[in-house]
Amino acid sequence: MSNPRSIIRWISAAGGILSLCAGLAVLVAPPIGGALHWPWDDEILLVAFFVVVFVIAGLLLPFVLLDDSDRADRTPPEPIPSTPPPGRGLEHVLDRRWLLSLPPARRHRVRGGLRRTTIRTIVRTEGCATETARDHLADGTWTDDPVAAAFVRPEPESDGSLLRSLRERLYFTRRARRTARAVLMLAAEDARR
Amino acid sequence: MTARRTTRWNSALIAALLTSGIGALVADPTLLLLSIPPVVFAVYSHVPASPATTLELERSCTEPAPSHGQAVEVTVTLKNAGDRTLPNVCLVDGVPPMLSVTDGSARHAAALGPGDKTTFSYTVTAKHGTHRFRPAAVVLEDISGSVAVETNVETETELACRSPVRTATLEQIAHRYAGSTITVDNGHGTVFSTVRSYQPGDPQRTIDWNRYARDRELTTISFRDERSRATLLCLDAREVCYRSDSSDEPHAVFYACTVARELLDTIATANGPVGLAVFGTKQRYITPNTGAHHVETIRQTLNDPKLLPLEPPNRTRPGDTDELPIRPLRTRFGEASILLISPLLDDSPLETARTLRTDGQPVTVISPAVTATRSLGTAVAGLRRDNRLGALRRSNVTVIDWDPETALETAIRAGANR
Repeated sequence: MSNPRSIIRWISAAGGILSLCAGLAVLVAPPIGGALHWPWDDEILLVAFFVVVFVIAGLLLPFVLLDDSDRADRTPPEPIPSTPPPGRGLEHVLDRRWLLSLPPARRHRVRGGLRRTTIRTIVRTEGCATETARDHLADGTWTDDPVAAAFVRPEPESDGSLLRSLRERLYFTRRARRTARAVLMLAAEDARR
Repeated sequence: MTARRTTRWNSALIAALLTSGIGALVADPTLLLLSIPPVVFAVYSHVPASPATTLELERSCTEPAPSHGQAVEVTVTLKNAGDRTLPNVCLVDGVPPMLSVTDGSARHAAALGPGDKTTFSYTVTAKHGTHRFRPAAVVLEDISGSVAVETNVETETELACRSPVRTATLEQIAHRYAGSTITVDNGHGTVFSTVRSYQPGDPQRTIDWNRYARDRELTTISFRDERSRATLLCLDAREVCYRSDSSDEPHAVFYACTVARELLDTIATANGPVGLAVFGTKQRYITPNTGAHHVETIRQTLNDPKLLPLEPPNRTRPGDTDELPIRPLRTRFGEASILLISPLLDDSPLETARTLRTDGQPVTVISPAVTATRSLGTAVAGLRRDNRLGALRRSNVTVIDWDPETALETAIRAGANR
């Protein structure tokens, strides 16, 4: 009881209990209510009291509406750091189910990456030099899939026609997917040998 | 420890304020009387004392040194060591960041009287590496639920899922193409090197006097120095290496640290000079040396969460280079055997290893495999890594391709015998 906070708590609790008893007494015995007189008749005091309690209630309201009492429960008990798998960027391009139009720079990067992968896979699987692999790429003999062969073949500069550009944009993902499958098949055949 | 007041009883307080305020404004005693119950509730929330943080935690594992993939049951006992009742104790155990709970829950709630205990268990699947449990997060509430005290209860627990390298030698791992010693033919060493005819100016102490006594011929003996070749553990911990094959698996940087710790123990056992180079968000170099204190320094560096954080670092700003720097490896550690530990997820470690090998420096690449085959995109990433491994082998770089599902030593032996 030596703690000042405890003393204040007990005084407040006692005051509350006395108020409750007084209120109940007024309810059950109306003559007591008649004996009790409202101490102030000044309406300004009443309005001021109302304004003060209304402001306090208004300030408390957001804390009730935006309750954060469950904050501790949101801590995940097994927080394995979220790390993506290797190839997530390429996965976003190759494994989409809906039609995707990529910006030219991104298409250029994806095509260049698949071209390098194809060359390196040919070098590894056939044990040849990089130049030989480039020749295979140029003549398209590395795969039976004409779409994949055409996708990674070094091509002359585009003629810039609108139709060609539109086709390139629309069919890019499908062609990239065919190429990825062809390169993976090349590596799988080597692994089986 | 932080104590905060919850908003549980604010509704009662607002109701009390509004009814009493309106009651006073309209001079209606009924409204004033109606405000009494909410006032009682609002006061009640301030009556109980804040809960005391008098908790003691005990944690035990069924297997403190499990093997990779083994299920380990963790039992946690929480005791109220104080003399007051704790009416609401909520606990979230500090499961190591790289382990996932596979059975049960790491959360628990109880009411604890003085001296009472509560026990709960959950199961984690062990992964390679040394996993330290973090402090358990505890939230204590008083009986009215109006005050919440958040605190941490700590107890040291470690789960060491080791993959020691016992039978593979340092020569097999690091000095395959260079030998384990460096010879300095400076004439002043302790190992016999050559005998040649005496030349004017040769020091007297190098003259072979026995031979002079026998044959009357002046000859000079030359000696050389031999010292152990140093090994430099190079960790590739760049942002690009924070990748894992699935969401509940550790990432490649964690596995790289695990490999480095195991190899550090192997080299320390052989008493070979060992150094460290870390290429991550920060770079750190420790010059090769021997001795228990030096090894402990490297071990602590590998455990430094600022240098090698478990959480993936923020992506580098556009324009920042994220390449492995080759210059310090050439200039500062030119005579050392390089053990480059990298998941090989880009071309930078490939180019670094090939360049060092071309310079004649012995290089071994140890690559934890974290590629997945769940989709076409990830399968292509796996193929690219295979191509990099192939390119390294063609460049006479020793390659150890480590699948974390297998023992590290098995991968080392397979790589060394290839």
